[in-house]
Amino acid sequence: MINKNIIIQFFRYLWVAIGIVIILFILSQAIYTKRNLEYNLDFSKTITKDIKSWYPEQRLNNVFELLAEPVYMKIYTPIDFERLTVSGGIFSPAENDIKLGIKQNDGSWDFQQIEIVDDYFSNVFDLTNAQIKNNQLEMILSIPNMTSSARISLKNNWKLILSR
Amino acid sequence: MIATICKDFFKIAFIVWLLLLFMELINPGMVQRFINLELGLYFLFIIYILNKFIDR
Repeated sequence: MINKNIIIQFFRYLWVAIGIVIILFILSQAIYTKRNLEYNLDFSKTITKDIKSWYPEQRLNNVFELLAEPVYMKIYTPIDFERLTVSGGIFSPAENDIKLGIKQNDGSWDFQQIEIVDDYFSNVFDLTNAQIKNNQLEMILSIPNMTSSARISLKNNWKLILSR
Repeated sequence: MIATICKDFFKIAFIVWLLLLFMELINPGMVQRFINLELGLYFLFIIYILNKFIDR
């Protein structure tokens, strides 16, 4: 017959082991030593553990066509990075003033005009004064002169590269 | 025996939850990305109440 104490001890050690594994897993995910961090975005998943995009959700339909502007995105940064490179595809049939911006410490937005070549763009942002709240950067996509008939859609191939 | 095992589970789960809360406060987003601490707290409440029933 198995001693009761052995069973109690077994479960006690089991719970401790599970707790240690959980804590070690969380710690290992928070430590980042590489120079670059790359996110390949999938707009069909609005909330992932690293990215919250694009919100408010009502401003984008299920084929990622913009219905209204601006839309926002939050990007998780485990450590401080110096630059953010945003690249991807935007389909815009007419000439539109499309801007991307990163929220700054003073609450303003560091806007950059998107130059679309063959439905593709790439912009680099300096993150020196970027606001990092809860380890998250906030990005805005704005099209100030957007009309209701404008059909601007985002291709689901955006890539974010954080580098230092 | 089951009561002791459940008590041990509650104690260790509570300590782990406190450690995770502390880690989240130090580095916001670090824990919440993976584990919902609020749901964890409700889970602890349920385990605590169940322990009280088992103890009787």
